[in-house]
Order: sequence, then structure tokens, then C-alpha cells
Amino acid sequence: MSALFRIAWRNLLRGWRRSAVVLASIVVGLTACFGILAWTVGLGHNGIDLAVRTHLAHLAIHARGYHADSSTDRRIPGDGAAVLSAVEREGLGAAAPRLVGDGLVQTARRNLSAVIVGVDAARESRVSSVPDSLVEGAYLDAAAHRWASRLPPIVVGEEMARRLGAEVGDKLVLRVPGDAGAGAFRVRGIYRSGSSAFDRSFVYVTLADAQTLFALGNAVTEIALLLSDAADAPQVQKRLRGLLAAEPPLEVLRWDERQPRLAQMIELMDQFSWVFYAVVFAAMAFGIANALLMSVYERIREFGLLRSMGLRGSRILLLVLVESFLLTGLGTGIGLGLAVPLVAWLGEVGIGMGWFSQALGEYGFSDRIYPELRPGDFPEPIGMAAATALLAGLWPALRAARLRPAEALRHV
Amino acid sequence: MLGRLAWRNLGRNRRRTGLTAAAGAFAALLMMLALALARGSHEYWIDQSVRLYPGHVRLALAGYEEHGTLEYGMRLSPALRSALDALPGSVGWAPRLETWGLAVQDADGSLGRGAWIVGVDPERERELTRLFDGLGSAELPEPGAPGAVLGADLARALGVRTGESILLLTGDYYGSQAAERFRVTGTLSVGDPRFDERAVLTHVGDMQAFLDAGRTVSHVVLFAPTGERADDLARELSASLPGGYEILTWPELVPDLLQMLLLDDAGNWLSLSILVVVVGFGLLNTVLMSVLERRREFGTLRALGMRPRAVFGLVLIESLLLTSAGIAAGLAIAVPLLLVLERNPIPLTGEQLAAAVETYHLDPVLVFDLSAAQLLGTSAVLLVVALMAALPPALRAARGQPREAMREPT
Repeated sequence: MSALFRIAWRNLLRGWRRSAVVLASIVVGLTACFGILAWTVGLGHNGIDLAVRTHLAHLAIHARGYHADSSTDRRIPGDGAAVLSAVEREGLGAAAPRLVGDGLVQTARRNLSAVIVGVDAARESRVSSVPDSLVEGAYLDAAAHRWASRLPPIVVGEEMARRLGAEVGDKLVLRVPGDAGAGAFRVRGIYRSGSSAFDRSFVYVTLADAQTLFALGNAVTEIALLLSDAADAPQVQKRLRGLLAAEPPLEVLRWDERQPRLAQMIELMDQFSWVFYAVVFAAMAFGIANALLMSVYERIREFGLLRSMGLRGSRILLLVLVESFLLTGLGTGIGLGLAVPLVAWLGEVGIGMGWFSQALGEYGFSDRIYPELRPGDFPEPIGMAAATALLAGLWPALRAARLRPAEALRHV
Repeated sequence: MLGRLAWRNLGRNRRRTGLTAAAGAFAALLMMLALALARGSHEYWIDQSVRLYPGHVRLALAGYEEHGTLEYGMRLSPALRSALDALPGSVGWAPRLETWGLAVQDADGSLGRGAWIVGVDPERERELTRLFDGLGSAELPEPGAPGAVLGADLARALGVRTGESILLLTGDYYGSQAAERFRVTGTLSVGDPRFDERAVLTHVGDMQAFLDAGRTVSHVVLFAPTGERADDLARELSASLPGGYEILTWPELVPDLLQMLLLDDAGNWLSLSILVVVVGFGLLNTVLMSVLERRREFGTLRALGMRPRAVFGLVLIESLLLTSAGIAAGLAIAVPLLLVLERNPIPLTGEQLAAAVETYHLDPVLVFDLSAAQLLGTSAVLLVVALMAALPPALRAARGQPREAMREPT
């Protein structure tokens, strides 16, 4: 076998120009494949990260049935304290209680619909990036109520502030369904999450103010959980379900169960990159097959000699296939050697997508993409490269193996 | 003469020529299909989005785009109406009065959702937009008896059915609180969550009464016969009206969709250029090998008096011929295939695929559009690649010294 490798290697070097060109096409194709895959994975994660870090969180605990019908009627009593203490006792992650409800934001002559979120400011900053994304003013800190005004504070998104023409210090009225109906607030801060669709609709008030507004006593509708590692979500979910089995009936859902489309997006991007791989590898296969075929035709007399000296046809088949694998393997190696540092570097600095920021923002992406490759992204392209080497090498190899020694020797 | 020589050279190694041409055909076919798909689907999606609601041209008061609120409403005076009717470039117009409010279930006042309340002229919308296409047998809201069509998901969240009523709450035109009961006459599902989850569509007259807005509307949309004629229509409109209005055309009304499609185009171009580069390397290899094999021959040609320029040209012509054969084969498959696909858009049946396309509020359908410009463009790109790939081998062939070249072993 090692003799075969040596012969194969020597043959590749003999036609070094040809080998170099084929190698270049494999390297370019493969590096591009990995680059594009890394970009799509980065884009998918960008969307998921933004959603998870603004509002979705990794896990959310609601009253049973809330996911199917998210009404403020389905609530967790007692500020969710029992659940929060259970989560914290077990050290399962950062947790924050929320009261989420639909409402209307009104200024003197403007109305905009909003998702009103009542939060515990200190806890919220541990599960959400919104408290750290202020572009003006301040978040709902403890000092909020002692602030210059008697009106309770509200934090709104940049996009909503723009539409309302509201600035920090302006008065807004929140109107919600139910008997209590309405309450006046003063803009305390303006945030920019990166998703304009989010910034247009989510407003934040303190949990106590939201409970008063919605007339919900001390109930909350949601407890959001952010884990240090998203991959732990299924295990933590299982443990929580065990812990929270008692009354009241609760449901614990992962982000991908609450937003299945977001999760599907990454899978779909994977499938699209498969199509792209197939196309690029097919194009490479033409080049590899051609180069090997040429090299086989140049060596017809040689193969005749080898055959007449007793080398069997199957060994010759193997020889040409080994050449194909060596060439492809080398190209794959160099391609990986280029792609991995390139992706690592781009993953550090990110790729600015400012040109497309309106579309990205509208569909819930931020405009900087950090390409990344997961360990699971490598086996498939490498496997496809091997399959390409085999398929592209097979025809030339069969040609070489089927030569009749006597005729081949006489070939000019 | 050079052409004949080049043709014979290609015929000398049929397999190599065949394989290389096949690679060219493969690239040509894929590029043509991918570009026709992008063009067809993008045009279709844009048209569908524009015809759902935004319209080709939107007329509003200056500042409406920035704020979109009631105080930027404009009075639809008889003079304005007749000006709109008189526009030769328009196939029709429709007024709308929009605001945000709360839709509350009548029976349980604590069950409510944020709602996008839009007063429309149902007859005009039915004629011009596809807003009411999915309505089925439900009634359209009639003026006088306050009725509303609800987005299907909104109706489900509120737990209301056709025939029941909802309470709409919002601030009226003068900033006072307004509340009124509307009978649900039907639900609609257009595949866009902005409508399905939020929209409450009422008759514009009822809406004006509800908001105490007199003859005020938020904006008027106008339709041109085709999207390309939108700019002409906008010019006509602006010439027939005094200042103080804001006239936008559809590219400004759906900027996010256009950017998304632009991003898709960018991805397409990137992928296709990688394909072209890989195929270009294959071509380079074929031409290079055939030049290296023929060093003696080129030496002989040179010794017989052929100019280096002619040798250079010979190699380039070979590469162009080879690629042209590939392009021709690609065209021979692509054109009939596209003619069939053009008439038969492919519905996306895969659940994930359909879901992903719907995420962008688009119809899950793949539409192909054959365009001569794209076929020519693809062919031109491939021919340029053929020239570039042949350049190094051609230079090599032209530069060889006749004496040395003839002494080369075969």
C-alpha cells in the first residue's frame, strides 16, 4: 500500500502544473463553501441571539395554557416568588419575573399599539440585553420613583419614540383592556435593541406599575430564564418540570418551542448550504476527472508495462483512485487551513451589513454578522469531498484498469 | 483558418473536450436557472406585496411617512377626489384611515389585543388590492352599521366569531378617548402577521365617524398599470396637486422587502461567482494541458512563419469555442426547461421551506422568469472567463522559441 502511495504521489508531482490547477480549484471551492456556511450559521445565530437576549430567553415559565392563548388571565400568583426561589435555590440560571400584556401607547394625538412588559429592573438586567441598550436616559432603576416627576417611569424603543415624537421626560398614556384602563407615565429612557420590529412595540415599566395598570394584584404572567449555556436548555427544562409539579399548574417551554420558526431557520439554512455544496463539488468533480483522465492517457504505455509485469488490474484501479484521493485530500486540507483561521478572524471582527440594516432590523436581525463554524459543520463537506474524489476518480481509474497490456504497450 | 485549426485541435481529444464542455454546460445551466428563479420570484413577491396593501404610489400629507399618525391625516375634499379621478396614468385609487388601538372582547373586557384599525373602501380595495381575496363568503363591512373584518389570528386570540361584536378603543382625531362597538362580519388570513394578527378592517366612513375625523383620511394609494409606470404616475400626481403633500412610490413603501431581496441577490451572485471560478480552473487546466502537449507543434507553426500573435489567438479561439459549445448545451437544456417552469410555478411543499419563506411574509411559491438579457449575460460572463482562463496558456504558447520548442520530446 505504501508503495502505491509513493507511486501516486510521484505521478501527481510529474504533472505538477495540472495538479496545482486542480488543487487551486478545490481550495477555492472548499474555502468558499466553509465561508458561506459560516456566514449563514452566523446569520441564523444572530437572529436567535437577538430574540433570546431581548425578550425570548432560553426558558420561560407560564401558567398552563399560556403559550396557546397568551392572555393576562393566565397568571402566576405571588410575584412568582415561589418559582423564582426554586430556580435560584437550584442554581439553574438567571431568572426574572415579568407581566406581559397588550396595550396602547397614547400621546396627545397619537396612538400606537404596544407590548407592555412590567419588570423587576435588577433581575431583568440579568436575563435581557435591553437594560444595557439604552441610547438616551436611564433604565427603570430603584431611584426611578424619586426622580423629578411623580409619574411612574417607562422605557420605550427608539423606533416607537420616533413615531410618537417622544423624548426622555415626555408624558405618555398607557391604555390596556380591563377596568383599570389607563395610566400616565413619563419616558425615563429610550433603548435600541438592534431589531427595529422589537423596538417599535416593546415598552417597559416596573412590575408594580404594570400590576396596578392591569389590575392584577401581585400576579405575573411569565418568568424568564437565561442559562449560561443554551445547550443546557432541555435538561434544565426537565428539572424545572419536576420541581414545579405542584400547584399552580405551570408550563415550562424552551425558546425553540415558543418560536419554532426561528429554530427552523437554522435548519433550513443548513439545507440551502447543502445545495450549494453539491453544486460546487460537482463543478470540482469535472476538473478532477478531467485531470486524472489526462494523466491516465499520458501513461497508457506505463500501465501496459505495469500490467505485463504482473500488477493486477485492481491494483491499477486503486492507484488512480489513490491519486484522486491524495489530490482532493490535499486540497481539502489546504482549504480547511485557510477557511478556519479566516472564519475565526471574521467571527472576531464581524461583517458589517449596514447596507441591509433596514431589512435585517425588520426581520429581527442586527446588522453585524459574526460568522462561525460548529464542530458538526465539518464532517459533511469533508465527506462530500471524499465522495467527489471517489466519483471523479472512478472513470479514469476504470479506464486504466481495463487496458489490455499488449495493446497498451504498443500505444504511442 | 485559425477557427478551423482550433476546431480540429478540440476534436483531437474528444473526451477532454467533452468533459470540459460538460462542466461549462453545467455552470451555464445552473446560472441560468438560479438567475431566472431569483428574477421571477423576486418580481412575483414584490408584486404580491405591493398589491396586498402598499400600492404603487401613496399620497399623504408631508411628514406622514415619518410619523404615520392621525394628525398627519389629509382631507379628502371633492377637489382632491376629482384630481385623483382625472389622472390618466392611474387605474384606480383607494382611501384609507389608519390608527392603532385596542380590540377588546365584548363579553370579557379584560381580554384585549393591540390592533391596527384601518378604515377602507371595500369596493375599491376589492378591485385594486388582494386584501380581501381570502375573505370567502364573509360580508364586507357596509357603511352605517359599524362592522369589521378581523385578522384571523386576532379573532382567535380574542375568541370572537363572525356575528359577535368587539369593542374598539383608541384616541380620536382630537385626542379624546374613543370607544365603539363593531360587529365582526368576517375574518381574513393573508399570510402576513401584520394583518392576520393585528388588523381590524372597517368601512372608511364608519372609521371617520368613530374617530370624529370628518372627511380626513390617512393616505390614498394609487395603482399604475404596472410597477414600472409608478414613477410616471407619481410625477403626474405631483404636477396636479399643490405643495405640502408627500408622494412615495412602491420602492419607498416596501424598503425592507427590497433590501431582503437585494441580500438574496448578493448571496446568489457570490455563490455563482464561486461556481464560475471553479469551472474556470477546470477550463484553465484543459487549455494548459493541450498547450503543453503541443509544444512541438507550436514550434513547427512558428518555424513555418506563423506569428506569435496568431498562435496566441489560436489558443484563445480554442478556449472560446470549447466554452461556446458548453454554453450552447446549457442553453439547449435551460431554455425549454425555463419555458415549462415559467408557466408552472413550483409551490413549496416542504413544511420548513414554506415556513421560512412565510417568515418574510411571502407566498411559498417559486416563480421562474426567462429573460433574454440574463441568458446573454450568463453567456457573456462565461466567455469572459474562457478568455481569462486561456490567457496564461496562450501566452505560454505564443512565447516559446521555435527552435527550442521543436527539440522538445513529445
